[in-house]
Amino acid sequence: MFNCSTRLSLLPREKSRDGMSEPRMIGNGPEEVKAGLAGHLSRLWRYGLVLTGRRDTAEDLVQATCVRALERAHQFEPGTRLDRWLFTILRSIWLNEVRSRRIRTGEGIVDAETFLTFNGAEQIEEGVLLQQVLREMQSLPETQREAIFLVYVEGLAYREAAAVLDIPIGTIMSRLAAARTTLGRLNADAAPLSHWPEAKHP
Amino acid sequence: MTDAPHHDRPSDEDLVAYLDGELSSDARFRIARAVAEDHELQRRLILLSGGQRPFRDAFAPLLAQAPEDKLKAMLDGLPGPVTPEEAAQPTRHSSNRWKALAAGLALFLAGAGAGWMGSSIVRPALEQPKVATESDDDDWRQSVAAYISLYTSETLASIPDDARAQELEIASVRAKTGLALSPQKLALPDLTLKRAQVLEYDQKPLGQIAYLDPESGPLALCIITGGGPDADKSTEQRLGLNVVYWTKAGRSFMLIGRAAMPRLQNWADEVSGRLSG
Repeated sequence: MFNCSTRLSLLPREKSRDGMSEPRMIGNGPEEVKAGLAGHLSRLWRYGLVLTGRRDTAEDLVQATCVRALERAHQFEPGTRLDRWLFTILRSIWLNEVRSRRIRTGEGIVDAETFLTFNGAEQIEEGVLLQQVLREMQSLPETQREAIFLVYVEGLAYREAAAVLDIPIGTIMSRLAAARTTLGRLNADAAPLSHWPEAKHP
Repeated sequence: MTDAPHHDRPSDEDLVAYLDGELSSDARFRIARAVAEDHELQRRLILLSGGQRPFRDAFAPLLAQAPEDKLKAMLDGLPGPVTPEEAAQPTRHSSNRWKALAAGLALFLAGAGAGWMGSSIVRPALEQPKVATESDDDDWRQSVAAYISLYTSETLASIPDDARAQELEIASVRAKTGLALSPQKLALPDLTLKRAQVLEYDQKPLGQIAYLDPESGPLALCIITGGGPDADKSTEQRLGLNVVYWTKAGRSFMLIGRAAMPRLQNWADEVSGRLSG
């Protein structure tokens, strides 16, 4: 069961997540924010879509995030990762301002993954993989799905994801461990030998 | 980097951090040694490793679906960043500018909160104190433009055409604006009336009648009270939208949408004639 080839595949990945690979502008915060926003719109929209499950709401969230970021541009620390800062703003607007109102007014929340599975993934050819992954992610609590998105999809380091979600790093680790236990069991039940290609890391 | 405990058996969290390359080299070495000696840890590591998926690749196609051009156009329409100096000592200009944007944001959030179900809800007053300026008239139009620019055809198309519900909505706008509105007076050629609702701007009720034009998408007729002396129709562009606006009997009106200006002006003439008659 624990043969050599399996063991090799379990070697930890070497990775560099210190963010130095992304070009940065060193300068004053407001200018960096204004110049950098345009490069992150698609990723902000995707995060909005994953959080809200709705394309129109995701667009609204990106706009509200841009407005807020420009308004608070002087608070951005030049040289730090702009995308992380923007994620934090977007999530905060969603949780504190949009979602809470929706719940109060009884509108409820569309399940993001259900939405993506039935209204997004099927529209694209490459969506088969997305559908497979999303179907499995349905079995996870929302908090674990969000940790997975930030760390494994967006490539945030644990401490960066913890900062975006405003939780201790240990909580990120336990959410990821719990998620991988669940998904690992699904894998073991479905096929003794993994049929999943190794994930690529940023 | 995260440190794994020195003496205890590594936890699942430590093992996942090990697989994710999140450990310092010391901690990684300790875990590798512990795993090599412990069959139970080997079993756990295999299970956790099996919980990996090609998440990044799976979510990649969604990036291509982002309405990048639309978002870029939206960004281009926003004013520049607030500088530290402006933030510390807001000038009249920046304060007005951000007041307008904040109002737009509040309207957007009000809409998102209420949903698109056509419920007429009076929104709480904006947080910013009212500062009477000669540009207040501009501010409300800027706020409405920021709000309407978020509308797509889909936003309105999903609202069911329910005549009875619309009558009630229009009655609510009529009550708040004191304007003799009716579905007949508001019906405009080529346009489908989709919703009427009451919002609030600067503690004044703001009536909004949303239409859908099969050609150009969403349009809105907005009415606010306390509009000052009568003024003839003028036109302008805000955030890429065409606007016709006028003031009559203490109420300011604006018709806003992506439709070409001549069409917009025709509708404005039609509806202003009916509402004053």
